[in-house]
Amino acid sequence: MFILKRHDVEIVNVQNPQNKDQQIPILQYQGQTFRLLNMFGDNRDEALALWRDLTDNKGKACVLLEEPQRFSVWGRVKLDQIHTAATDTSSAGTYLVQGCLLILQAVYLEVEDILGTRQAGSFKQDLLKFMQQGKFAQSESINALETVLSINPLNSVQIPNWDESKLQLLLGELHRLASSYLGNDSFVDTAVDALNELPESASVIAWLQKTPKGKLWQ
Amino acid sequence: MSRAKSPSPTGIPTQSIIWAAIGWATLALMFYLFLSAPTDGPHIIKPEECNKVVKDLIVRPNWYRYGTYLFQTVAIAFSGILCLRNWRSPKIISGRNVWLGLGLGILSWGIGNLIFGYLDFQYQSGLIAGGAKGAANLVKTFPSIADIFFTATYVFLSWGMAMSVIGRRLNLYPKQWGVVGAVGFIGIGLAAYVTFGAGGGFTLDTGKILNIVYALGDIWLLIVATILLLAFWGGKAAQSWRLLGSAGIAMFFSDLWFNYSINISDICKAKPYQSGEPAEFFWILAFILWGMAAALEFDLSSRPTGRSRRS
Repeated sequence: MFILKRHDVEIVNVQNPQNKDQQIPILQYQGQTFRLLNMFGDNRDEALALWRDLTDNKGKACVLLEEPQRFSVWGRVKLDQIHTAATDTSSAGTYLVQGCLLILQAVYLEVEDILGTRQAGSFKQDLLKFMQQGKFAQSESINALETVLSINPLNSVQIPNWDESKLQLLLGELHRLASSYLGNDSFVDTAVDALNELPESASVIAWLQKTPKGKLWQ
Repeated sequence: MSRAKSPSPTGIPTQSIIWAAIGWATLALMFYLFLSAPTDGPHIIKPEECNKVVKDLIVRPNWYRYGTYLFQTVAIAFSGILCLRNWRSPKIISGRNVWLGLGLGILSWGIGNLIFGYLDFQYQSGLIAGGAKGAANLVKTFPSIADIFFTATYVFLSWGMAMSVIGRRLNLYPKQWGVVGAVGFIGIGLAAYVTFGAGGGFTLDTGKILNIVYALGDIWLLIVATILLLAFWGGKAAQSWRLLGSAGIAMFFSDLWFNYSINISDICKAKPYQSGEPAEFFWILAFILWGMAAALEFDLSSRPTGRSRRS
């Protein structure tokens, strides 16, 4: 149906009706709304194949969104199915949240790997306390935090709606907590290595370099 | 995602260090077990503190005693160097000060042990050279100048072990604190029995005070190792603390044995304290375990984690 570029469309986060803790991205184009079906990284052919299959064979209305190094396929939804409590769109660029999630998960795994599950549990509690104080979305309970720690950050459907100031808070606190648990800062290398999974890793690293708390992660 | 494990950055692979350590421990154990029988003698001696001439004194031959000091010194030197190598590494998991303390403590023990060995040979040869005519002014091995270094060892070890606990979040379950308490309690009970119960009675002299200092040092090592082992259970950091804990137990056992041997020795009944008891193998074992723990931790710390839940 449509092959669109990022500047053609608007993407907002709305609350998932099934799971109130979760934000899902909705693509808006010419008054129609679409929900993310699949992400393909930089594999244009695969994205195109799915898009063709859906439009030509199944007669579905869908969008192939082309971004630098990332292709995604979106299927049409009627917005009134979803409670349009569309939250502000001031959330940080998706890739920044994805980058911070990769860092968060890498550090958590490092703590668990080196210090064992007991220490990892207490690390999680400390993190939760901080995130609740900072009113982070998707950190209302330990289960919500566990979800955040286990989702795939490369799949942007599930990622939490954190803005840049939250990300800065998180980077600062995560560095402080991890240093106090691990006794040194060698976790930084592991975390930055984890960023390589993200197609936009270079932009995330550039962002880290120019932000105050990001400088801790180099 | 899978990341290839890079080899540790030093020349000697950790695996070789571990095998060498196990090999050295095995050789030392065989040496202590099979060759420790006193075969040199019988000598007739007359130490000045005894009323009568002592007959039928049989001592361990000098080649065996040289052997024991060789086994000890090599193990001590290597484990001391391995600990100090960890101190030089900025990425070490348990903290650099821990390994600085352990390394200095071990090397100090090594120096003390060589001095003790020298005095030990002086004593025995003086005893035998004096023969039935009487040996006066025999060199004292315990307490002696060597104990300055042994005491320094416990100061360094205790400081290093304390550094591993201070500033860390430990949060043990009450039950786990119970285990730690039990370890301390049993340790103190055993040490008190050996020092005061078994022979000698309740007296306080330099020797006894030193015995108490060494026993308390060992108990402190045991307690800290237990705390860290329980706190980090299941994590990589626990792997080296398991070995450090075992080393603490081996050290405690040997020190108690030494304490006991000194207490029951009686030169006037031809039962002097003789170095090279098979139980003293546990000193070597302790140092070897320390060295292995150091090598293992160095390896774990310098290796990238490269773990991910997603595939």
